Amino acid sequence: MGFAVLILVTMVMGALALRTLSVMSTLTDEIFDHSMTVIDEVQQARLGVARMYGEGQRLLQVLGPEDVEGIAARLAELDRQTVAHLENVRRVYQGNPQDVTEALLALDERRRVRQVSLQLMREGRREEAVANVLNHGMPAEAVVEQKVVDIVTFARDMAWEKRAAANAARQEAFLHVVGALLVLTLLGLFLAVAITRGIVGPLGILRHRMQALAAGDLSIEVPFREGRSEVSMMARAVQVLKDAAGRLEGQHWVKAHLAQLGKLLQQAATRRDLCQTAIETLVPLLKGGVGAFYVWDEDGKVWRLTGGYGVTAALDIRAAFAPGEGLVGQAALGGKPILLTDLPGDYPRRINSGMGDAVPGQVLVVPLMTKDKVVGVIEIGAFGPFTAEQQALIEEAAPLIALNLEILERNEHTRLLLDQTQKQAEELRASEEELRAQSDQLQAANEELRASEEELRAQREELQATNEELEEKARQMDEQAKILEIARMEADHRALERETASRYKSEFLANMSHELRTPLNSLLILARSLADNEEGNLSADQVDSARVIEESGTHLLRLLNDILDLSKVEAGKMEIVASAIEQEEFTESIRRRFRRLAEAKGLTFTVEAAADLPAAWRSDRGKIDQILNNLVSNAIKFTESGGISVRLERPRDVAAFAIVGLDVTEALAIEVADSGIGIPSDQLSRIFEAFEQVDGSASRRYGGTGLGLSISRKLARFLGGDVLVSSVEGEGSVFTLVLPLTPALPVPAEQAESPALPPPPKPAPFLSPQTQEDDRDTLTPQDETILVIEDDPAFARIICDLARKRGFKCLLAGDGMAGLELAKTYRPTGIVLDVGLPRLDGWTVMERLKQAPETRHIPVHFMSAHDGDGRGLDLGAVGFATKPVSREVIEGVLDRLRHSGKASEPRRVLLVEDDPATRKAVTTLLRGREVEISEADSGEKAMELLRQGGRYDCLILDLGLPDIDGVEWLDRCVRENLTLPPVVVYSARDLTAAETLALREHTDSIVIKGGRAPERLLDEVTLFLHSVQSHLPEGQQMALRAQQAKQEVGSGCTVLVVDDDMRNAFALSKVLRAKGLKVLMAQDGQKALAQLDEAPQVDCVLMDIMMPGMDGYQTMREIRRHPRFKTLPIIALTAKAMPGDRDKCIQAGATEYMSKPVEIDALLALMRNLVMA
Amino acid sequence: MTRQAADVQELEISLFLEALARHQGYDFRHYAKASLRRRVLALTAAVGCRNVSELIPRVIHEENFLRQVLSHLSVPVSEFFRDPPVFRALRETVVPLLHSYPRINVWLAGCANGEEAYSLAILLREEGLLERTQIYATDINDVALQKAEDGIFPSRDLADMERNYREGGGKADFSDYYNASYGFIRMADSLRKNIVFAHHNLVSDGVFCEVQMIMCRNVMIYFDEQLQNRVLKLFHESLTRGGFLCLGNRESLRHTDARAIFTTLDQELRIFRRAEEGRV
Repeated sequence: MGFAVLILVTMVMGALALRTLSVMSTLTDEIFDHSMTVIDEVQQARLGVARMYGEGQRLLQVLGPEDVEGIAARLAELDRQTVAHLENVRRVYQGNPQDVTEALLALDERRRVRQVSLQLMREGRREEAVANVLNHGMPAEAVVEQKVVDIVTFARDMAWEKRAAANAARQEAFLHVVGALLVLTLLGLFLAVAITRGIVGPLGILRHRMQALAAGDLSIEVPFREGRSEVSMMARAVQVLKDAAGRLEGQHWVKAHLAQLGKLLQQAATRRDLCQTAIETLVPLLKGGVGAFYVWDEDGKVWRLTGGYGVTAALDIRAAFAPGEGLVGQAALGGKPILLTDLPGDYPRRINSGMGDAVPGQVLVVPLMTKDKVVGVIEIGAFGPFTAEQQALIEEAAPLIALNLEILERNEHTRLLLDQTQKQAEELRASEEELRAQSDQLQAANEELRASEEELRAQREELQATNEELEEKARQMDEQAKILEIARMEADHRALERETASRYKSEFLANMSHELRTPLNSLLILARSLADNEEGNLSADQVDSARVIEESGTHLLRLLNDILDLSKVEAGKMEIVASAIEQEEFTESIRRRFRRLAEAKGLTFTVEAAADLPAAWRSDRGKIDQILNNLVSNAIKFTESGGISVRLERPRDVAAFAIVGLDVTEALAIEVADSGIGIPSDQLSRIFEAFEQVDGSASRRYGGTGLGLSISRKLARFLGGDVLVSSVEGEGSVFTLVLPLTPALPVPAEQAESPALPPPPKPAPFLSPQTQEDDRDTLTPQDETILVIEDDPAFARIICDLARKRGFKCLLAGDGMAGLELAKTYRPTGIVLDVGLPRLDGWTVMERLKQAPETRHIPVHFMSAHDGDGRGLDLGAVGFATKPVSREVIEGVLDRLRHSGKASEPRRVLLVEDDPATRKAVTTLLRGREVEISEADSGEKAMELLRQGGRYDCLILDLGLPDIDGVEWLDRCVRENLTLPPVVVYSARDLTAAETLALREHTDSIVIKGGRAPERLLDEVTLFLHSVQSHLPEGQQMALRAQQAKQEVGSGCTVLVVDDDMRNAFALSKVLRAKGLKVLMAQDGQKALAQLDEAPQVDCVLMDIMMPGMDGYQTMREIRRHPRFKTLPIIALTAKAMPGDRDKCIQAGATEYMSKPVEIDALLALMRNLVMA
Repeated sequence: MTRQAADVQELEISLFLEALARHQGYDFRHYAKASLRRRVLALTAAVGCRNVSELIPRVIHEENFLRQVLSHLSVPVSEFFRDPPVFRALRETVVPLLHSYPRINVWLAGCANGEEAYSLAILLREEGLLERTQIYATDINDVALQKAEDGIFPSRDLADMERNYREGGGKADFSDYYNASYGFIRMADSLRKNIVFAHHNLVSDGVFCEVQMIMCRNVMIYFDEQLQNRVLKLFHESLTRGGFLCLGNRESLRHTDARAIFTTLDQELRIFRRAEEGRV
């Protein structure tokens, strides 16, 4: 209220002051707006007038019109400004407006005067202008001046008036303000006294109480709560605050302990831990003396003591309650806390509170519940009553503990489950692993199955292929068997045909013989009579001729008879005329018949008969005589000394006679043994064939037709027996006639044995050596000579002519003996030998030639109508030609003899080896090879031997010579132009690739010493010793061919041969060098590149494709990478002949392509094209 | 299959072989008929063709088809130290003679997956010859060649390999020559160093090198007589004087023209030597 009055007074005061100020301000404004503006503008106008005057004066003084115009312009401007200032004054001027108007009119007047003056000045009428100004200008100016002064005066007066008004207003305001201030001061004093008295005292008391409250003292009493004053209201508010703080404190206590409890409980790991922690925390908080914690035991179905506080012994407290039993059981069952208070001191122990002897004042049993389920019971005994906070605490703690308990239990459960799950997972993993292993195994097995299936397929394939091949073979066999069968049938058929033919032939012969005998008979008789020269008119020569005719005729007759007999047997025309034969008489007749003949030749002849023979037997006496005749005559004929014995006996050699198919007990054997020339064992089977004699010359030497034995055997067989023979060559023969004691039934014609038609008897003129015309008198040692031993002079002549044409000299011999002698005398280069020869047949001549050391090396070629290929070669002939022979064959034979002749000179081997033991070993190795070995124990010595011009067929070179390395030695020989024979390197050490390469320039025959090396050495050496031109190594042949074409290619070019195969590389290099080309060699791609780098002047490259390491394709690509080799001709040489291979080569950079084996002429042509281009 | 169908099939096969020979240069026309027929049919099935004729456009127009064809038409079967007695014989009879050569080239014609090449390399290593030996292992089947060059083989047959190795006269331990892992064995690099695996067609290609020994086992059983003769002639040209030829145990020279140009070293094991003409 007081304050309101104060404010009102102050406001009035303020209003008064403001109004005064406003009035003063208005007055001041008026002074400024009017007086100041007017004075200012008027002064400006005066200034303008003054300047116009100045200009006017100057106008009157100027000279030129241009100056007049400038001044006129300035005057106009000044005039305009002055008018403007006066107009401004007119707007604010509060005095008489006439003042301003008059001033303006005067100005107009002055302007008019000026215009005139100007005009006059422009016209140059100065005097008139001056007069004009003075007359009219000056008065106008004076008017203006007057009016202006009036205006200023008015304005100044008005300003003073205003200032006086303002001072009055200020005086009034000062009085108002002083009055108001006095009122205000009085009011203030009153208010201060009232307030101090009603408020400050109680507030101080309240402030103290509130400070205490703020410090936490909740026990203070709050005063002044009664009444309606501000202070009592404030006190009531403080009271409310105090109550709230008290409640907050209690809640805080509960919360804090709950939080702590919660924290502690969370730390508990086990149920017992948790219970113990819970009870130990709670009991002190509740100021209890004892506490127990019961938890439901699912196994025992009881509440079991799990935690205790202040429980000193097990006896103090019950360990377990059944549900519903005691307070604990009841609390659990009811789910509600039970509080027992005021327990009497002698309270009997009937109440099973679980407490011991001390009786607590209060017992609180709290069930712990979560979601309507009791999980535990806490019992706490305290001496005092439980406060509200304590009860709140226990109430809030119960669910917390229950929850924790449950969580713990759940955790435990979860852990158990987790354990279980983990265990199961583990198991699962294990079984999974197992499964995987099984699956792996399965897969492996599967794969294996597939692989083995594949393999099986392949193997089946292979097997089938094999089978098919076998089938094919079997089929071929079958076919062959069939062919064989057909051949056999054919043979049978032929045999039959032949038999028939043979019979026809025999019949024919039998008839013919008779027909021949008749004219022969007369011929013989007449010849005989001529020979007797009964009329004495023939010369001795003629008589001789006649005798020859007779002898020949007789011979012919004998032959005819034999043929007749033979054909009779063969034609089945023979008959058995059986009669009894007295043994005594039979032996006597034999003795009688042959004794004289034998004795005439100086041979003994005995006939004896064994005692166990029957006295007589039946047979065809005539035929037996004929057989014996033949056998004994032969024996005498072929025996030169000794004797012949005939013996009759029972067959001794049962086994031998069994073959004949005789009943041995009923047989007789007549044995004719001689001590003659005997029969070679391989001829034994042939002597019974018609026209066969052991030795072709025998018939000439011993006479006879050669049919005897054949006829004898046929007769014997006809009689049911046989003729057998055994003989030792040179010691004699034994022929045995075996006969049954009674003749067998006449057998039909001979079955198997049917002699071939005899060849026409050879004209056998005896050509004496002396009569032959040959070159024996003109021979020189340098001549190559051929000895022809041939009894047919015409044929001998033919051979001779051909031989001469081929540069041979010829020697001729008409019989074996002469041939032998000539061979020994002249040692010809070669011998052409016939088989059927007089005196000594070809076989014998051959044997004797080979036996004699001086003739054994002479090559002999048979040329005969006999078919004796195998036998001739066995004897050591170089060949056997069967007559008739063509001219070409003869020439071939001569050439062969010439070459063999050269080859058959003793072969000479140069052995270059420093180790005497090895020399000995090699010498031993080559012994018996008809080799002459020269030994050199050093390179120098070997070279010396070569320099002396020694001709060697082969050189065996040890690389480790004492004086020079083997490779170098070879190089030196080449440099010295020594003729090197084929070289076989025999090295004790392994060779590097480079060494091998270097050696291969000289030989491709390198033998490393070792277990089986001698064997190979022998092979290699033998090869060279026997090589003739056609067997020359490929390279040498190529070289030869190249030599023949040497003129073609310009020399001087450089060729790089890149090939890992030495055989090819050297063959090529030899050819190319022979062409005069320079040849570089590289074994592989790397070396080729290096070579190209070192010797860039290569004109052409020959590139093998298949090489180890960097192959040909790659090498070519590498070469082409260098710009300078972009156009280098490269010829690829490859074994591959597939269509794509050429493209591959070209793509890799080859200029051309050739497939192996390389056609050397084509290669040269190609190179020529490429290099020339 | 009716007679007619068989005739048609035969015609198809011969057309296919013709195409293969004329377009690609691989001439199978002298392979043994029946086994080739089976392999062509297997190829037809494997590449999903309904009949042999369908192979023809593919072999002509498809770029990579040839590889597949060759892979199916050849029979790459081999094993380590197959027929151990042969390897024993090589050690006892052939190796001592090989010792006398300063450089040795061995040609393995038809090397398939390379087992034999490695076997031979092992043998030569143990006999102290590998360092101076170059083995050329050739085949027409590029797939097999690649496998051979990789030198990786399944280890499931390891027991067989080891047994063969021992029976073949192995002097060390087979496991010295490979590394085993993941069910495979990988042959040692030191063996591979002296082997060149290369493509070579016995039907058309020629001599590429002079060799001291040729092994060509169970290859010629798939060839007809004419081709066998060609191949044997090729071998004869390739071999150095007295060089060795080793054939499969079901192959022989008896029915071929070549019996005159080879001498028999061991009829049972099919080991022959080159003979010099006129010096048999």
